[in-house]
Amino acid sequence: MPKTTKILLTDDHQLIIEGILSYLNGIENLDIVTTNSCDDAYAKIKVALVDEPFDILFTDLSFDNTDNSSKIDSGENLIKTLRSENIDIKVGVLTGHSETNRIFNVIRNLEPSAYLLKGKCNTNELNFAIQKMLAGEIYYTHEIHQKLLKRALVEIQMDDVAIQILKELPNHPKISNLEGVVKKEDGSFLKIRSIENKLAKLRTDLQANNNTDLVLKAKELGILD
Amino acid sequence: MIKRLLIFLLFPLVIFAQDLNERPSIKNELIERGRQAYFSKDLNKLQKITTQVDSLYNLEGDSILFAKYYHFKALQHKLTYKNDSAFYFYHESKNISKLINDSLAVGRRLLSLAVLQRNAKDFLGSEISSIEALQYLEPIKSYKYIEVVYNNLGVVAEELDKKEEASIYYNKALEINKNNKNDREYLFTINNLGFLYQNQSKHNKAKEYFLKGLKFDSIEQNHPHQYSLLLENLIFSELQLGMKDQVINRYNKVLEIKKRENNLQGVSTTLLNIANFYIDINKNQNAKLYGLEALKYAKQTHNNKRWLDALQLLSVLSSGNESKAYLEEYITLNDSLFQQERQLKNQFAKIRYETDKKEKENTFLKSENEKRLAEVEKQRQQKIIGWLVAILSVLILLSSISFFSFRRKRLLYQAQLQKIQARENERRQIAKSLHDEVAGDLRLLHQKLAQSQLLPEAQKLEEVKENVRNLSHQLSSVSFEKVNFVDQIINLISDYFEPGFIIRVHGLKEINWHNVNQSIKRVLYLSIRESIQNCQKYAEASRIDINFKVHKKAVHLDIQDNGKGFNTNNSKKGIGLQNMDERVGELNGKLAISSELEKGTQIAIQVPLNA
Repeated sequence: MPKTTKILLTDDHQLIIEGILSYLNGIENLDIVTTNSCDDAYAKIKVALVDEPFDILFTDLSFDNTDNSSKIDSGENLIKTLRSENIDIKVGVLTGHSETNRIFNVIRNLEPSAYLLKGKCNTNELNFAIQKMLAGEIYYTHEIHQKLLKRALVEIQMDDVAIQILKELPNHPKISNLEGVVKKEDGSFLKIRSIENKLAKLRTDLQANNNTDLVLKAKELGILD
Repeated sequence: MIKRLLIFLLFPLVIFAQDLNERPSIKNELIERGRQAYFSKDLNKLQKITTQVDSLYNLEGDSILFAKYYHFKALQHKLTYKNDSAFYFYHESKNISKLINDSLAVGRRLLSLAVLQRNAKDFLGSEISSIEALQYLEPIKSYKYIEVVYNNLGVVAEELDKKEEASIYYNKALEINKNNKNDREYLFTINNLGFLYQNQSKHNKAKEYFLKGLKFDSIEQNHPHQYSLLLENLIFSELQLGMKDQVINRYNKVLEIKKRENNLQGVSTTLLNIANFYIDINKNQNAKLYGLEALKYAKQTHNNKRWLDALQLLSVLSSGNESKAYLEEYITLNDSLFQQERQLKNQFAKIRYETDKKEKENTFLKSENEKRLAEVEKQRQQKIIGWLVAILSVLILLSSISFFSFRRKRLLYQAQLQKIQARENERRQIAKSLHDEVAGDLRLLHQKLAQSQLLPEAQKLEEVKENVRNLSHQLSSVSFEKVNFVDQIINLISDYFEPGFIIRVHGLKEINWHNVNQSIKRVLYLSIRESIQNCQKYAEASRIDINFKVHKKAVHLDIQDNGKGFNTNNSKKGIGLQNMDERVGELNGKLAISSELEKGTQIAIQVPLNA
């Protein structure tokens, strides 16, 4: 018999909780507890640590129902508190916030195992995310990936060296020929090793299969004129 | 052009330089011609040259010329037998030369003074002057004049009846002459030595010296003056030894030379010698004739000694009233001469005393003058110090004014910043209460409506609630605490970036934003957001270029789009732009918008980093 996964679902809107519960009901072997506030979520997690700790926490980021008596007033602070106490629990962000700054801040600083958008998820995605999280992997929903990709694009187009490499790449069939062409900020030439590292990073950032694909993607995404 | 100008500039310089080079030769030439005028006893010429020396001195201020002027003045008086005046001018000349450390001139003038004093029978004075002359001449080894000084010292010693000393001096002169090879002076010394022995009635010894002198190579042609003296003395000594060969003939020869040499003073001496010889051989008539002639020359040349001698001789040779008259004249003259000599001596002494006194006065005046100059200098320095203090205080005043105005500006700026911060806090507060209270109440209402099955109303309320949330979001202040400025700008752009809506950022990472004030960063952030939103909503732009730059302590932000632009004259600023302008103005910054239809818009923002 497979092990039951214990999940805590936190959201300030009961309606949302109901909706998500209906999705999760289609997944087997889940033990789900819900709450509407961060303080309560924290208390539940702490209490559960004694006998059956939660495997996964799904939480929203902003909570409209906070007032001056609330100790923890946002999902971010809840995650931060758990992290600071080294509580072993997988955290998934399940929110409506898709502004890049919020995403960037949460992913960069809180490193959640999953980032899902509550308006767009379904049973399948939730199940997939839970499996990934339990396996110690990371799952971001497609839209978040797109946002991160766009951010990478913006950063790439500010990176003079990357732009040079992308521009010169079609002119040189061999990568080794790029050495002596691409210049650093101080005017010296970039070594072949650095060029290859940069290309590898660019391929990852732009999710390109090879260098030809990379250049095509760069043009398509508006990095190159 | 410049070359030509240079030549024009140089030309006068060259001429001037030539002029300067020629001056010394003019000076030397004048002095030489003055000397010659004196030796040829040309008083007129000497006077002219003296005037020229004076005018040249006035032109150049060369003290040598001034000394020379006095020297020539002295020579003029010497030519006119005004010995006291000559003495005065020699003395003055000497003092000037002393001042300019011209030892040779001092020595020579002292020597001239010594000779003058000797002639005025001021033998002690002459000795003193001679010794002083030696003090100046010996250090500079001017043997030519040292020899002459020793000769003079010999004569003076002889007159003071110090025969031994005289002999020593003469021999010293001879010794020096071995090196000098000054024939003329040598012959003088020999003659003086002979004369010394003659006066001691050692006529054989005297004769030896005179003969030694006369045997000098071609003496008659080259040194006729010395020759005549030596010959005359030889004749005298031989006479004393009883040798009476060709006395008259030889005396006549002496006379002839003296007259030719214009040595009229000496002529009276020879004439008297001849007269005495005639007395010896009892030809009193002839003796008287020569005596009268001698008297004439002696008077003419102020040769007082011979004058007296002639009078005495004539009184002896004549008889009765004539003799008495000569005798009386002799006595009167002797008395007056004695008086004169004494006067002259006194005069000399007086001149010396007065010039010394003047010198003392001069040094006193000089020290007074120096004191006064020091006083003036002190006053000048005080004046300068006063000016410096005044300038310094003005500077301090100005700098403190600027310091205080700067401080005031800073304080104002700080107050402004605080005001902005306060407003941001207020906004945050409003946003929070909107979010917490209004939205919370709406939610409760919504729940109640939903429970009452009033779904369309609940839907409407949901929309209102969403609007309130958005409003709250817009109002809530931007903070760079959680995410730094650069990342936040990148995030902002990422939210709008599309393959068809390209936003390029330049220079963002080159600036150290850490030191930039929060309010400035907030303004920049909001301006970029506002601009991008405007482009997206109205301008239909497909590309935005954002440039950051720090220049002259100010952040420059340029936002350029390729949208349809607008007429900056007609359009009123939208509320967004107006807000931007206000926010930038609060930070002492400037915002400039330039736009043309179909050519895009450029927004240039400039905010001082620390106003």
